[in-house]
Amino acid sequence: MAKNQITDWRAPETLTIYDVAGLEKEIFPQGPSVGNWKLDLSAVAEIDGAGIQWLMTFMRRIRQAGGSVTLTHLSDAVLQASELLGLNWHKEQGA
Amino acid sequence: MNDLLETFIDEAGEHLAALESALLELENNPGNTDHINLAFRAMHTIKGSAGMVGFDHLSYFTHHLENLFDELRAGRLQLDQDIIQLVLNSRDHIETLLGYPAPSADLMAISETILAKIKLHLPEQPSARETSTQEAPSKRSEIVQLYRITLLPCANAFREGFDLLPVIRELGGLGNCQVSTYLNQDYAACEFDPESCYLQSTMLLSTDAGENAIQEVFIFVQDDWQIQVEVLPEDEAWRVGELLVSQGVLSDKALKDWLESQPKTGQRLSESGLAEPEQVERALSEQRYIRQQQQQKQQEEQNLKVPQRKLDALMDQVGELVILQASLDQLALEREDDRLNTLAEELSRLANGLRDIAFDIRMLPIGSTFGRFRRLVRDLSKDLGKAVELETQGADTELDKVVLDKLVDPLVHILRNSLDHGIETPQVRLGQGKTETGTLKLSAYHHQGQILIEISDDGAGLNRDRILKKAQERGLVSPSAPLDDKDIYQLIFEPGFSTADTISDVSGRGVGMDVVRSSIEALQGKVALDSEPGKGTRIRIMLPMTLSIIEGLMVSVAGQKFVIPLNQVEECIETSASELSNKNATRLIRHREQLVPSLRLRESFALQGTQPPIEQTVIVRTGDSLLGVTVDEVIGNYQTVIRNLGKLYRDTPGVMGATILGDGGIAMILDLAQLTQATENTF
Repeated sequence: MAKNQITDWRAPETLTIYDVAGLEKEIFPQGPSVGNWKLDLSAVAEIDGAGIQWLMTFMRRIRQAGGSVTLTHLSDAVLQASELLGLNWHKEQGA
Repeated sequence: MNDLLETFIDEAGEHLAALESALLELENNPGNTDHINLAFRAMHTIKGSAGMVGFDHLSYFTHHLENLFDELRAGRLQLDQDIIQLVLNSRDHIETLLGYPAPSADLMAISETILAKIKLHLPEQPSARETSTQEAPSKRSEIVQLYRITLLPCANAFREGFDLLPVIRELGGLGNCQVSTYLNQDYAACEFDPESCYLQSTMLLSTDAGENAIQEVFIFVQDDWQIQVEVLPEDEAWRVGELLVSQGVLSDKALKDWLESQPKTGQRLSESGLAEPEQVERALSEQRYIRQQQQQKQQEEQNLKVPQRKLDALMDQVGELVILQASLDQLALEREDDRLNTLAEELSRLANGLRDIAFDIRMLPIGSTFGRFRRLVRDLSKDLGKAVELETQGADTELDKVVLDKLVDPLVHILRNSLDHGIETPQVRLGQGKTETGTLKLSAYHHQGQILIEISDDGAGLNRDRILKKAQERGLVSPSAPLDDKDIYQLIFEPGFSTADTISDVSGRGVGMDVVRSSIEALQGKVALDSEPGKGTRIRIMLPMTLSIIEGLMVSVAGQKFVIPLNQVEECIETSASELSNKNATRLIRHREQLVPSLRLRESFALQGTQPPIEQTVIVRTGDSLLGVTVDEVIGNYQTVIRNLGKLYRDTPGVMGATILGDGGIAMILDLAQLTQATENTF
């Protein structure tokens, strides 16, 4: 992946324990990846602790590998869940 | 009534006000979890306290409401208009039940009817849950504690259907909290299994719910999760620097300057690689929260609840002290004794300080009454099929509690009138090019040493011709009387006046506005009304801030002393006795390029004695009007303890009370509003 290229990814409607294994295979088929990511979370209508955790690890893995992750268009469901866990994602929300 | 019961009823009243306010907010914003939590805590507290003071039926009733809010905050039930109305009805019923430790069969039947409706909304409850919530009140600690709760779910938590989110949501419902969540030590990117749980949360929770209530939240997960609940000691946030400041060794600024010049511990730890920056930030945020909670708690602990009768007694004693101080001042003046003079001055300084403190204690923000008006406007507008929004301003404006209590009824009358006669139905408003929703504004602010309360609406305004016709029919004014619009509008304050064609439950019975005026006047206030057809009506109420002790200006006429409230005095000027009065003791004097109606007290009160050739005229202001009060001599400032007049003198026009002087004599306190009105009628 080119260094400055940004990958846009739109999250599905549900980000729950039933979805995370499939998403993991889709995004990280060969383990941790590098690059610049823009995650559009506008469609997420349902998210649970597993979904939040997956997004946390997504950011951690990409950033530790030298890439960047920007969260955009956080849906109400994502905002409520992240605020409840004290994650302040609304503050790092990009355009 | 014993103290415990009195405290319970007082506090229950406050919780009901909080509940009502939360419900009215939720009506506009049903998803606001803060207000749902607030309502839950209100019910939870009333339930627990009611049980303790023997109001068992009330405790039973509120238990079901508590369950209802528990379901709402857990997200198992959605708040809708029906539920809000049901809870508002329940709130009113609780208010009634507060008067009856053992309510009648009728009241209990009402309870059951309401509860049956509540149960229709409640999902079926597991019995274990029912038992655990019922036990909660007896375990309440009633002391606000700060807890640090660490939650480490087991790796299989998600797979087993358990999640951190509902647990944290439920804990949050117990009080004020701050949460931080992070990936725990078992997380390793290369071995990440997205269905395993690696989350760990730390929560700082400030609550009065007690540790048992906290533990109850973990009932389904406590065997598998690692959970730590610890009470934070009160002095945890105190550091050496802060202790040195509190001991006076260092100034706050010196400590801040020094600390800012030092590298922060977190920064040092982070730079040395011992801790990740985000871990340091998490710890700092936790520290900030602890400090904030402890400061808040320290402030809360400084508040005391005192029954009003004790404050009234304090005020009476202060009044007596002020009178005694005046006697001492008088004695010191007569004796010409330096030592006595010094003592009198010192006592005067202390008595003034005490008076100001006693006043300040009795002052309450007017916003404490605004809350109940929101409910009134909501309910009435619904009954009348109107859409009305109540806007309030100046809720922080402070007023003596006694004045505030007596102000509620007149304000209710005015608001009811505005809703019933002023604001039109949505159809009519739309037809007139107005917005569908009418606006009712209620504002309070300080104005020239008094409190000005304004109630305005954007409704139809008053019907000038109809008011005039009614007034003439009832013989209140003669058909030939020259009246301008403003005079005509004031006629609605006349006793028995009503233009309503039909009598509704809300208003239109011809009692109301005259009661409003007499109530406001009884508070030494003044009410005026202005209206514009099709645009709306505005009512202005001017009130003194207190009714018990005022700063006065002592004057004398024919050797008799009078007191004029000092906050209304603009200036004193000399006038000539050769300017004759008309038959009502009034005349116009030229002052600062305008003519000011003036009243000679000597003639007004038919006092004997020789009129000095040069008199003193005190220019006073009541509302927007100026009035001159002509006297023989201006003596000076005088702290005036207002005493009510006996039955014989109570209705003397132009006098609102009397005060006892230092030499034991009596001085009348002038009612400037009445004198102004009497003078205005002359010109």
